[in-house]
Amino acid sequence: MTTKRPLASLLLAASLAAGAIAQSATAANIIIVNNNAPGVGFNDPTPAAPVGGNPGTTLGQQRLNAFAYAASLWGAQLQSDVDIRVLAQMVPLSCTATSAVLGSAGPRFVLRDFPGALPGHWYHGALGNKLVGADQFGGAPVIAANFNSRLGEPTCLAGSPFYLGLDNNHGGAIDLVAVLLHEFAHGLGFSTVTNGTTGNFFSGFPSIYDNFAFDNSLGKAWNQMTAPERQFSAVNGRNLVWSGANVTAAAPAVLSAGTPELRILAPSSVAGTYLVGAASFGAELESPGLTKQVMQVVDQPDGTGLACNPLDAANARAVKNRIAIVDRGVCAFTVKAKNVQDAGAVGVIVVDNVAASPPAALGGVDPAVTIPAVRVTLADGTALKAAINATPSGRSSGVVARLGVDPSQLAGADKLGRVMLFSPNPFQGGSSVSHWDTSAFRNLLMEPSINADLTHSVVPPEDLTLPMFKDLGW
Amino acid sequence: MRSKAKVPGPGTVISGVLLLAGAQVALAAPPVPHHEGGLLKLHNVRIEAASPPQAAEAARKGPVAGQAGLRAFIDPQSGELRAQTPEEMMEAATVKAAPMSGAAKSVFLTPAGGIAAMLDETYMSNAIVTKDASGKAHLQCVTEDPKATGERVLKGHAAKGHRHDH
Repeated sequence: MTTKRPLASLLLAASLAAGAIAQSATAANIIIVNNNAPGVGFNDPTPAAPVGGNPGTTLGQQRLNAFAYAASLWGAQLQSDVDIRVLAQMVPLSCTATSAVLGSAGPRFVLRDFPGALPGHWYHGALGNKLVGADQFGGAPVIAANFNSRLGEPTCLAGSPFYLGLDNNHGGAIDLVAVLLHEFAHGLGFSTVTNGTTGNFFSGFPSIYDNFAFDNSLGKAWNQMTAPERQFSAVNGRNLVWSGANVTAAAPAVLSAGTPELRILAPSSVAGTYLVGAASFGAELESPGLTKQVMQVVDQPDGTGLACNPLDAANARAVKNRIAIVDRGVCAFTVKAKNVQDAGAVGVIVVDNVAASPPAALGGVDPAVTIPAVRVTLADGTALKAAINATPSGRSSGVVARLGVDPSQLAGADKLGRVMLFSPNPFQGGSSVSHWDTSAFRNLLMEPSINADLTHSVVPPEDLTLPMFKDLGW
Repeated sequence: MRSKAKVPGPGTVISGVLLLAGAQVALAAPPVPHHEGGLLKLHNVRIEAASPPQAAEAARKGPVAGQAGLRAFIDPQSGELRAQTPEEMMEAATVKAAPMSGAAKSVFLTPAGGIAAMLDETYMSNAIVTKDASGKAHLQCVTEDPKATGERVLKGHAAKGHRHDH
């Protein structure tokens, strides 16, 4: 997570300038309501050296500046005649030397059936205020933000305080501005208050977010489904998409073209397109891709194949000029790939050993690996292995695969260009549905996991958060 | 197509800008935003002290947040950010989230004639960070009862640093 400081500084200056320029035309005012008592949190008088464009001279000032800076980035992009009030405080939260609660942020109110609203749908309070054009909550803060004031102390994640610079030059530290941008977005509207575990609406009504969460399998949006259908949809991996026009229109400018895929051409019993996790090593997947028979490595007594050691003669004969299929476990993915490559395989499929979907990416680094590699789910891999009908020569299986990319499909979007929402199986409370899918590339601010190349931008071509907000009514 | 782990770093992503900007950019000093006495002065941001009723309310209820969060996973060996492993996916699924109540803590009519609801603590989202043996941070956000979060942190259940996806 390194950034070139001069450029980061340039971008910081540009963003500050952009905020100033945008202010007259589009800015929403954000009011940070400092809920800390004198001497603590945002008012901590401990001297601090300015860092990363943060001019604060005390710890409290630097914290407040980071909050204000993140708020200003959002404020410069949003339009609202109503001030957005954020109740904020830095307070001691649970922590040990190796683990800590960083904090939390989110909406404090939801609002429905106001003039101009889609009837019977909850809107986050800040968005409701904007659409009404007047404060509906008596001046109360509509977003709450609470972060840990002890982070970095000896008994609270020792040595790892927040990075309080404003320039994104955080290295391996926890960039408070990026975390705030993400969490503020949830408070502004990037989430549903519908329960994904039960499928039940909040107080009997869907969120406006649910109007755009569309399931390709069911052919319905969340606000049109029954509760059991929503339960199904919440774990319907890579079939839940955002149908909003603004996001779909912006996606080609943000996401790369080309979605990795494994297409089984024969036999008909398993033919079809399979979800894959791409690898961080080996050859890039290409179009039209590599079409070969799939041969299984078998080097374990139970009939599985780990390929953690150089292949014996029989396995080497089987995988030569074929796509090898091996099982996950015991050794690194790169080791498996290198071993089958050394035996003459031209590609490798790693079958997961945990029943989760969609399949995760294959991590690791080894420049010596030059063949393409993907991961498939345990269920898919089991089906493929069961379909293998090896000939006595051990050179043919009857399973023909094409390993490549679909160049017409954006990375992280469906065939129609609608960006996928995170809907893994099993359900992940706090992450599922209310984030973009992790297959998105370039990486997006509102994915459930932080990525190394995030900027502080929330707009295309770097990000899709603002287009989503436009869909919601911002 | 590259996987997440092969995503070009920020320097790579913006290298074109560097080329266009030339040496002047490389020598640019860090910007000094407008500030007064160390506090940023931003056109669209204002800072106020909480009123006594707001402070009292916050103290009574704690923060109320949405149901989403941010995670970071770092390979303990390379120190690089990486994708979530299947085990972590399964673990995240088994984190005992406080079930959303589905009911509003309070409901009231608003001046414009709408219906508003205040969310209760079951909608709280907590960002948790853990540090593995190599000192790398792992950031994870969950929706659960704040008390449960505290207990989990104290027990170190969120730590995943020992895990290596292979």
